[in-house]
Amino acid sequence: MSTIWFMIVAVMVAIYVVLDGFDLGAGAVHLFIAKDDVERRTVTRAIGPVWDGNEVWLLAAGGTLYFAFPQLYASGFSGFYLPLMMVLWLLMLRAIGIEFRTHIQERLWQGFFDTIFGVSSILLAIFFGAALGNVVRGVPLNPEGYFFEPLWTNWRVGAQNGILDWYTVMCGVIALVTLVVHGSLYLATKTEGPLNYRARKVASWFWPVQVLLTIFSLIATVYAVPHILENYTRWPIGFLVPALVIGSLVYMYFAHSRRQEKGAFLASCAYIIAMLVGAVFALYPNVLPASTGAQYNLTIYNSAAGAHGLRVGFVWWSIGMALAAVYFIFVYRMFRGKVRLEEGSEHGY
Amino acid sequence: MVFLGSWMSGYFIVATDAWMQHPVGYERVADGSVQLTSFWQLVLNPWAWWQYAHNMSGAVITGAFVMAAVGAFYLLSEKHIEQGHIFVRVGVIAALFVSLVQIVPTGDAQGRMLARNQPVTLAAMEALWDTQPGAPLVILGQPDVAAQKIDNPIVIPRMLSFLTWRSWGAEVKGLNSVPKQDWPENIPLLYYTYHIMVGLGTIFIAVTAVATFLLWRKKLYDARWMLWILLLSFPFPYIANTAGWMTAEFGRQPWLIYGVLRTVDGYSKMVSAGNAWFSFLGFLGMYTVLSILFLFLVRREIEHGPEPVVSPQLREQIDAARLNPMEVR
Repeated sequence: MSTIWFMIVAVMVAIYVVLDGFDLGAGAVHLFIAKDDVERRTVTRAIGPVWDGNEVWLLAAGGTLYFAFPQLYASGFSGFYLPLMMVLWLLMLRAIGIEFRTHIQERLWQGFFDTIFGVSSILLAIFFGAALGNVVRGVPLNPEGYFFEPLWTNWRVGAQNGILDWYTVMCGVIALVTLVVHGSLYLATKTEGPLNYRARKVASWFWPVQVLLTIFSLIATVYAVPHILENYTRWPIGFLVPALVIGSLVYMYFAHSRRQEKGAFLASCAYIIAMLVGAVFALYPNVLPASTGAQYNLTIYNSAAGAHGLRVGFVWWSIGMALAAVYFIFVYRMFRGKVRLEEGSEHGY
Repeated sequence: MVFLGSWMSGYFIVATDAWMQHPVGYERVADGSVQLTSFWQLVLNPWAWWQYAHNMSGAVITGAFVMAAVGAFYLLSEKHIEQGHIFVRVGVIAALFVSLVQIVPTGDAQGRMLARNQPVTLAAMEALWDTQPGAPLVILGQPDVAAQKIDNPIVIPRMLSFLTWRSWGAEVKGLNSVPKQDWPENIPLLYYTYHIMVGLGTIFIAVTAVATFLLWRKKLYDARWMLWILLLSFPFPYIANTAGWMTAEFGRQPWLIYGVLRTVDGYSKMVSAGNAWFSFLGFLGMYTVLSILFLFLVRREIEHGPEPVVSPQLREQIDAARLNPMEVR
């Protein structure tokens, strides 16, 4: 049962990154590719109906984590206290940026909130990447299963690490680049004309960076966290994952250069999922490895909730997910196709 | 859909808090942690139903008062008269009805549950020091915890006994019936938040009852003094709701989960007070900025006024005028 919940949490995180990833990415690039008010509104319109729904997946994944692995939740939320608060503030600022800009038709007002939206999106992408980096690298858990990390210490990967060291910063950068490409490809599928052109241009620039960083990150991970390959050597089927990563990058390139916008975007989704699956596969059965020694690792066994709760939860989770799936299919179908602003729609997105 | 979703999620939130107030359907396992044994007991917790009803009618009171206040503002400043009439009428009637529900049965039922399950909390809310038969209800007064008395009290004799046990002579437990370590930490704050909530609730009934009477006599729309009162009363439901939640949460102290987990055992040992202050001040700043923006935008919205009731053709003309204001001028 704990293994099932491990996979459920992993799937929910992956769904979150893929979905909210594109609106984060769109937010990160919109300051640079959308030049005037009409284009900016086209961008917010392209993510407007879905961004808040996408963010709920973060909440849902967090809630599921709390429910299925309370020990991990307690430990992680105390240990990552400061960065989590900052993520919360950034999420708030981002929502403010999107929601407030439409209230007053005034260039100063709109420019201000566009910038808030853009900057908080960029920072969030970096933070999420660094967070994943922390989980992969491990945190200084004490024998009671708790830890506290300052934001940074000496920037080295070691027992007394901070939230940020060279490894997690690299994870943050790769997350940003990935989401920039992801968001640009999404915007390309939703827009036309100059905006579409510029979105594709950004994706073309960042694709090589993404490839280089991916290769670099694989090497860096093996260097910084040598035991990361244990699961791969035990179950060699895991090596399919890096193959999928490379395959999706290659397919993204071909689809993109042939202007198959949807194909390129789907390839980007596949890339993100494969990267996350790769990390999760390496972690199992740990949910939070300890940098202070493997005996302190939080695993699915020592951090899971009681059996009755997990069983009942599974039933309700399935019902909830069925509802969420219906809702998402409905919303995405309603807003499929390219965004065209009708004349005179100056209110709302 | 929005109604259903938000009210359902509201229920689950309150059910969680109700579980902390009155834990049910759980067992303690070997390592001292608490595990759920019955999902249905958790969801059907009687505490949750009353707390939920009380909470939601509090939300409706806020909505109704804001509506009435906006309507009163329109009538007083003599614009959007037609909508002003609707807002005031619907707002006042709804506010009166829900304010009554707020006190009886939902508030009353919670008070009686408190007397049975959290007698210390009730004693602290009422600043009742000694266990006594025929306990009085304190309307006004300032509790002095050290001397265990109430300064300048205005009380209704025997009322507390009647309200909690439906009998004028019933015995109500006082604070001194339990050791001091089980007292809520900040008794004056708890006492005041509770009295602010109840006092405001009573005032809401009085204000809306008078307004409804004037409405029935067809005098309300011209009674400027009453419209002023309605306009100025819009912040108070927010205060009452906040005070109510503070009562619920301070009242549960020193317990995080009543009778199961103390607050001192529940906080994160790994987060230093300095870090908590950092985030607290951060939220304070963020919400201050947000409230200013919110008030600014709400004011604009109210100034802008509701869309008038017009025919589709007129609507088109207005839209055209908005698009090309120069041409029309």
